[in-house]
Amino acid sequence: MVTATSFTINGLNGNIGVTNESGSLRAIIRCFLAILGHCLTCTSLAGCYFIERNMLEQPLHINCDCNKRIISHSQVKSMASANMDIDKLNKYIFSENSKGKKELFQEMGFSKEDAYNLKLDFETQALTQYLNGNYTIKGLDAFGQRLAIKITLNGFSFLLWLDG
Amino acid sequence: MKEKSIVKLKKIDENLNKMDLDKDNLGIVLKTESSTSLVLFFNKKIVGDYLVVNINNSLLDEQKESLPDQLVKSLTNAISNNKLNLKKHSFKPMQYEEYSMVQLTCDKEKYLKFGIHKGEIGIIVENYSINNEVLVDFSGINKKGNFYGDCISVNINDLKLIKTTGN
Repeated sequence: MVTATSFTINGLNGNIGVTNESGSLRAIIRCFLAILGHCLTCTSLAGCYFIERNMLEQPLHINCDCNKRIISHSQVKSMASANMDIDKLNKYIFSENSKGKKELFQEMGFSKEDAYNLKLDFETQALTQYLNGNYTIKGLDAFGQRLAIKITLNGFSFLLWLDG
Repeated sequence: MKEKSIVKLKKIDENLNKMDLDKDNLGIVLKTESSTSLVLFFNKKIVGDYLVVNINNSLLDEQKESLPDQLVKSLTNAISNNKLNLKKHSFKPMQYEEYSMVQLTCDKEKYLKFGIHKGEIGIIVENYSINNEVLVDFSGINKKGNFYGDCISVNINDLKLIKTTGN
């Protein structure tokens, strides 16, 4: 059973819900709550889905208003998505500043030209593993909950045949 | 233009450009007159930062989404209790650009618990900051092919810039 953590906070006059759907309204509400001094770690979690056997404990802190409700796996599957900014590959992984990551990818046979396909591979596998609850819970802060997910990459080196 | 509605800038003039506002900036209408509105715009690069500007309604596009009622009440209370500085006319500058290389300048428990020590080098991996913190990836692959480090949020005052993007 997939359990979703839904977030409501007690504002001055009752409950204020951070919308579960990603987009500008959610961003605005989070920004406004930040101005009012609300806990941004909690607001970052609003609308996040965790499989019941692999999720954070509630409450997160004293006076935490977070709660959770059960949600079906089908619903999570229809709403969850994985998105990777291709710049993470072009401007970081394949840069000189990646602290060994570029070399690792090159040893597997990948180069910057493979960035788009790598992005698709990462997104597909990350979403599948996440929906199966195969993730390790890592750091949590105002930027959100980080999850570590194992990705399998098969690199190949192709050679271009040239006639003499 | 309706008070407490969400708006987006649809045109930029020279004054707005100087304030670091662009067509993607979203805001909330605090007060409205016949042809102008007092709008609170959110800083896209620093969550929690804002500016307030009086702006011609012709430059604004009212969005179809609306704030929840309770948030509207909170906004009204925040204005009347002076929690919002209506004389704040500029955004704070973003101190570090995405993909800049930085170095941790201190040992603190909140970093040490992730195995990150003073002197370690990392890369800023988000294009915005929250509460004076940025997300920094200190991870790497050593010569044996083993992963080390972690990606954590760090206070901007605990970092030193090594080089900016593209250097």
